[in-house]
Amino acid sequence: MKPENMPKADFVVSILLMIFGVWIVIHSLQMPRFQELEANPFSVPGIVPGVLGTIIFILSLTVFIRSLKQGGYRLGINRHTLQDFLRDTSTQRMLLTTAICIVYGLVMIGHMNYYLATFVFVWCFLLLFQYRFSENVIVNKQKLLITSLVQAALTATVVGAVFRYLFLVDLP
Amino acid sequence: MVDGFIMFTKALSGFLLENPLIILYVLGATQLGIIVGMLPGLTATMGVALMTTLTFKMAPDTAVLILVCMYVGAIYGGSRSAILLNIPGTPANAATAVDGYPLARQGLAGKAIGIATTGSFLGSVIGLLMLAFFTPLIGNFALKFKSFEFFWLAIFGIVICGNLTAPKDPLKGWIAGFLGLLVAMIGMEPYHAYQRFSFGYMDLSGGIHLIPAMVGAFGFAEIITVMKQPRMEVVKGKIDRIIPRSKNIIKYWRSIIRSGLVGTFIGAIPGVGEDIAAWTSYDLAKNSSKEAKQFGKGSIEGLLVAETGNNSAVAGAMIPVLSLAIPGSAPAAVLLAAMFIHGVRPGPLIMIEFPEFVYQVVAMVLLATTAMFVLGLSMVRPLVKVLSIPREKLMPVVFVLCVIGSYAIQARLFDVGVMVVFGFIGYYMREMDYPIAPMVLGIILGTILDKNLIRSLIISEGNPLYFFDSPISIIIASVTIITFFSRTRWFQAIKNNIAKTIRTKIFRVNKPAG
Repeated sequence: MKPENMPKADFVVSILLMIFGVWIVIHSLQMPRFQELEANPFSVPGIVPGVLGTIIFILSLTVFIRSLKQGGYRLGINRHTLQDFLRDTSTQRMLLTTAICIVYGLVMIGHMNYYLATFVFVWCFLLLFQYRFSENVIVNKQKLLITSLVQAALTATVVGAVFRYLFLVDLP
Repeated sequence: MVDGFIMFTKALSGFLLENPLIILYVLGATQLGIIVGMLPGLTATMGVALMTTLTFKMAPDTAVLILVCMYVGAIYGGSRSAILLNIPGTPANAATAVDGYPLARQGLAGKAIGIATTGSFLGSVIGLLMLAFFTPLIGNFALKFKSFEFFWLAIFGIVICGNLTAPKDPLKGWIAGFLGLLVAMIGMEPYHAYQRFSFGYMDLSGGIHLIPAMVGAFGFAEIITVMKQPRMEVVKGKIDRIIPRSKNIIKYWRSIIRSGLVGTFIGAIPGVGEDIAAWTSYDLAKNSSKEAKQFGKGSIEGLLVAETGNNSAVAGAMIPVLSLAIPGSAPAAVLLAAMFIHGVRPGPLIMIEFPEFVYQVVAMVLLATTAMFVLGLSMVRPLVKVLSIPREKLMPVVFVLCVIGSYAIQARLFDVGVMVVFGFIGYYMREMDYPIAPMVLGIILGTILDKNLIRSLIISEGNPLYFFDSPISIIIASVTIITFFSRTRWFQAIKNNIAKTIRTKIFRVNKPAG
């Protein structure tokens, strides 16, 4: 992140952290105190999280006040800045990596055969990044298709087999 | 001392004579560590975490040996990409790039690699001597610790780690640390078995396991960061003489010893890690060197001390792991978790329950260091090719390993979710300049803090004076409080006033020093 944008980021994150701190404190206060069991009042479950929530709130408040002094409240978010952000190649690469990894890790794994899921993920990843973001390298489409297919098949088979048969892990 | 040496010799001969496969494991794991360290996007923490999942069916000593080799190899391996790409393979090698890359640009890549390897070896040797000497001392001393001391130690760890890993903005380091402590609150608490923050989910009631969280925070987050960045270029050119000339090393013996000691000390501070050790060693050498102007332009001394500093911190980070069960760095945190998985319980009782294990770890570091030195000087040219593997081909395989590695520890899909969530958290924390190391330390120290704060409150019946009852508590608390407030204006004003009073009243000097 550019240093000039840091106060804006601090402003937003500190608000979220303050809300989080307050939520932790409220949740901690709502935890049972086991008075009916004559528990020691200093042993109640909410005491440590409550203290930690309070500390996070105070530290975030300090960041919030500092960001206010640095003008972090002037977020300057508009259509143009959003468009520039989304058109940036780094952002596109980041979003694509995140999306494809989430689909594999949270959707495909556990819902379809492990070998197939891994093969599809690796193949798609290789094709998308080597073709879409090839950075002026002339890509031989057919070669790319075949090499990525071979790598995907090898990765799925080797990783799956090593964990299944060598480490005796029941694959997801 | 003599007992220690006997146990060390026994451990070393046990490794070398009882199982001939050990040498292969050592060479293989160290080489893999060097490759992991070399590749930007694969850090030592991630390497040790993934290796934990690959070794948890092995015998405890073999598994820990492989993890130590991976750790030592990876911290050294990062110097390769720092020298040839100007991109540190692991954060620990950032200081290495400052002088290593200019040397490579001058056509001295081989010399730089040789110097870095020798520096790493010497740093590791100094570190392991300190490990053998200080672990039993600290372990025995820690037997005197009561709940008040452990409470202060947990807070001290978070505050000092936050302060050192985020030197520009310690507030963010502390927030990261306290968030880590909160993560550790998830699940069943130790006194009433109440399930905190589990919201009725069975998976959450068991708490957040450290390994998937770290694989996410260091692995997935790194994958996103690497894929976001533009392509990097390897320095072209022939690799010259690699084995360094002894006069180039002996000349800087003072700097080497100083960096080794400083690196070990910084490594032993909870959660701080090898990167801070390398920078501190580098800065100290720069300030005291006769060739200070050469630093940043390809200084051999600069490169040597950076690598001595980070590799001595590896052994340094294991001192609190063994003696206090508190990690000195992020990879050491995974190592600690792996030891627990394998049934070894580090901590103050280790010198009573498993004294031989301490010397086994010293022997492991020695084996790893020797392997690193031999492989580092002999496998240079073939390994340069590894750096030219495109990240588009490497990263999907790494993510596949992150997923299966997180899953394999407890065979739970929930842990894959934990890995992904912590990957996001880790990525955005980096983007916003929040260090990850204090959060990881917080996850480990959370349990210690929870148990000992409640125990202390019960013993003291809420009287805060009890928290300052012993000299150890007073010292740890004072350092913590001073560190916490050291950046505030009023603290600076008080400090200046005290300094002025000392100058004028005691030394009778009216002008400010300097």
